[in-house]
Amino acid sequence: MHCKLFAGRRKDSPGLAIASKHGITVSTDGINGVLKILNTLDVVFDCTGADAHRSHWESLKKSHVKVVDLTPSNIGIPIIPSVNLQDVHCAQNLSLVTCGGQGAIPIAYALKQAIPDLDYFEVVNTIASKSAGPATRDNLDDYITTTESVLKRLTGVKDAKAILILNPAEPCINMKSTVFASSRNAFSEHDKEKITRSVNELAASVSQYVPGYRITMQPVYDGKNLMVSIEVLGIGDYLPRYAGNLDIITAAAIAVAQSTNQVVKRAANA
Amino acid sequence: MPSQQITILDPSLRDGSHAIGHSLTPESVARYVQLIDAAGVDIAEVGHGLGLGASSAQVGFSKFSDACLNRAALDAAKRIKICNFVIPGFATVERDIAPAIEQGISVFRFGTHCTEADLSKRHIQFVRKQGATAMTSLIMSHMVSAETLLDQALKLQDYGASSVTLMDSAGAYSMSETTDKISTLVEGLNIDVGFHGHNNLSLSVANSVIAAKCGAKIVDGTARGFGAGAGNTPIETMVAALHKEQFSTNVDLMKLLQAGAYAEATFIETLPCITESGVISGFYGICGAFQKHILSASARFGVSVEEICQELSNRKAVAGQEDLIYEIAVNLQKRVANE
Repeated sequence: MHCKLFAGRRKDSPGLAIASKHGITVSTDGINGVLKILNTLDVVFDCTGADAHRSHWESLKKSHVKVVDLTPSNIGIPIIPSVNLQDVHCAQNLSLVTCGGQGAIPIAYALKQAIPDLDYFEVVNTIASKSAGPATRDNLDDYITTTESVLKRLTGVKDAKAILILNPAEPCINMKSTVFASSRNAFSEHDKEKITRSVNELAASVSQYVPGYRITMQPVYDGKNLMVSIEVLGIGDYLPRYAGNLDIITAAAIAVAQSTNQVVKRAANA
Repeated sequence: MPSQQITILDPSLRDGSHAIGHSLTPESVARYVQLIDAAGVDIAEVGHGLGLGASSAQVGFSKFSDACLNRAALDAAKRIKICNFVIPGFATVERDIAPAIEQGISVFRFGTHCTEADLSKRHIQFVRKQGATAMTSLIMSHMVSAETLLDQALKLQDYGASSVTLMDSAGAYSMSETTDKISTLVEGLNIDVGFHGHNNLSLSVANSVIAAKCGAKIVDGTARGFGAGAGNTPIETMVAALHKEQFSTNVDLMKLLQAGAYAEATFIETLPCITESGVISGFYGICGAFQKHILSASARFGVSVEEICQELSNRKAVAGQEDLIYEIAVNLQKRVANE
């Protein structure tokens, strides 16, 4: 993959300065900068906000590019790489859901694989205040709606809830997700073994593209209910390590683009 | 000089509910609303302990839905205003606020952690657009300075809030802190300032009176202090103390005592009491609503309340982080087992 353009809106944006330093062409013309060179691109990543993405999509949908959406707009097909990466071939607009969704949905999916009787999921995501920029704050409701909708869609349960908490502690806290699940029946020892295996296997597969992903609390049971917690530590290249929420969705975007890129290459060779 | 008029807000049917695992019934809600309405209380806050949309595995499921409790309260209310508490991150406009407005709720009080006021911007603006009142509050306000609180309160004022209440959610305020923080807000804002106390250090009534003396126009109190752990500011003693200090309220103290007696005889399971864990929690500044979860995690994993509180304090836990209590207890238990 080769980055052809990094577009922003603010001349003084620190992100644009970093991109420039890496020798990447930058534009301060936002989506218009992208549209000008659209015929030279295979993939466009949108890291703006949900409303902005809805309008960007109007300009992009008639083109050939794959659109990887890092906002919680929920327009495209939702992709959680460890769960349904194969779906990148199904649509032009690929939604990365939300940072909390990228962290928690793999766990919910693994639980449901182990115990099909589970009928309720709840994901509580706690992030450092400093890792939540103006778009995240403005999109709080979109975050909840999109996380809940994809949680239901990818696990098949009818009832799900998402909660987001910002914590301003200094030094900043690492991104953390807790997944709660309820079953129609109490868990047997055999169920618990299956759950432990399934959850740890999927966590290992997420950590292949997000190295700082780890389970911080193995499943704890209370009657027909259980809870599991994970933490995401970023790799700390450009973003601070605590901002695992930003890292996990960026890592997912790269995993998604790489697999679409292979498709593009294959098509070109054929 | 005419005496200062104080608005009395009773969150018994919301914050109090933490003490009984969010199990208030529509019958209790209706009867208690009638009684405090007759007693002249201005505003009743109704719903799950953390407000609209907060019924969850994380904090606890409500026995009855937001809509069901709202219906009971609205039908019972004659003069009193029925208010819904809203924490953005738990509730959304579409799922929770719009249906509440549809039901007839015309007063909302938004709560954000004391440094995160901008999370409620969109919600406040929506409520204002619908012609409803948007009161606001800063939760766990003992954690930051008066200046930081003022910065955050100015944002809320800017978004269209009608008031800002400082919540001493952990019952951790000292009296000089109340003076400092309330005075700073009263001087810096054009909108009303309020105070919401908890009783961990036995200072809730004193702090409420001090807040009024510093210019706060709204104070919160619950029936007999009904609330998790050490409880909230007891509304009966608070109103009596305010009247002694020559503040006016719309409340008839004798009728208020009858409402408290009803609450005590029905939905208050145990009267709040400042136990060892309540003092520890107030001293370390731990969210009062955590109390039941801390006690249950301590019993389940065989770890002391003090160790859990210390670790919650180290990690600067904010309201709504109940999952952290269990994670801390599980990991402390592991550490003990390894030693």
